[in-house]
Amino acid sequence: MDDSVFQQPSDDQLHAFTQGDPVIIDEVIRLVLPQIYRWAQRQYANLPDDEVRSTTHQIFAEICINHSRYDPRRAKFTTYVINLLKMRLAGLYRSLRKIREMDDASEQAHENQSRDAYNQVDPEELHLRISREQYFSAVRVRLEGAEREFFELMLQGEKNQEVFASVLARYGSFKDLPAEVKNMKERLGRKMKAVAQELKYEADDLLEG
Amino acid sequence: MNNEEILSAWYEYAANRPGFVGSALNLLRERQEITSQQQQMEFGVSDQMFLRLQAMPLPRSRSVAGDAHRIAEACGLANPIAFVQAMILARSLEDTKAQVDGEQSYQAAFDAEDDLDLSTEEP
Repeated sequence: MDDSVFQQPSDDQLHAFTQGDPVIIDEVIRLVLPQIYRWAQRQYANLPDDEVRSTTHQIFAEICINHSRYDPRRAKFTTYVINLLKMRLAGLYRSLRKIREMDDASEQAHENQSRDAYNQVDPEELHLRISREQYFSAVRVRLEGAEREFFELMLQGEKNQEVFASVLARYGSFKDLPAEVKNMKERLGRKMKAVAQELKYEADDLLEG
Repeated sequence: MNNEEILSAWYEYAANRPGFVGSALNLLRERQEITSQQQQMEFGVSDQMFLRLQAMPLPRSRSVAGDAHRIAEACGLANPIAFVQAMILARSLEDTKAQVDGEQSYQAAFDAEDDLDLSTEEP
């Protein structure tokens, strides 16, 4: 990958970055993040935009916290960021591929089971249950923090809004907490539907019960 | 999305992450029982710059005041001193918390009810 197309921080900025200078770290992020995010959107156009944005943010946050790990002598800053991003998104691809393979295997297992005259399990129910677990696993790996806690609560059938609000309050201060809870649930719903579309499931079937 | 929109999304994310100013300001709000708006007014900063402020990495422990002052200048705070004081207090609270957590773990070792020296059986 030729990253000379990216505008690079200056040597002085990079030195200050590795020293943890917060003002310079912010300057570097402001310079580099939009470029990297647009690059990732193009390169990973088949992934949901939410996923690309979330992963990009995670990578940059980690780079900011672990600023001393970057060595300007070994790679350009954008090369360093892109390599980390590629590894993280490659991990996501592998997870999705594994889910698909498991789904194929479970379909075969389902066919074998349905031939057993003594099998009392309803084949459709079994297939749906296996697919649900795989789908929920695929969703779970994409979530972190408050989103993941919300997801687990929803799976448990939690209806009390105050429980969700108390979870969200642990992650920050919000002007309008009930509205933020609603926003979070809507964002989560969009992510779940995006995963279902990718895995070619009917989301409504998976979310029932 | 234009650059500012992309960066705004980043600020929203970083403002709630450990290691960034937002996490320290959140800790202070809990301790001082003040709102985000009150904090913002105290610092004298617009909504947009308050968000950017919270997404700045925390001042370094070896230069809290200096880094905090430069952060305040970069974000155009009308009252940079208030922010510097806030960061010094936040650092102090974090250091105290770390010390208390450490002391509690040591104290727990001494609070054990059973005196093993008097036990006649192997644990």
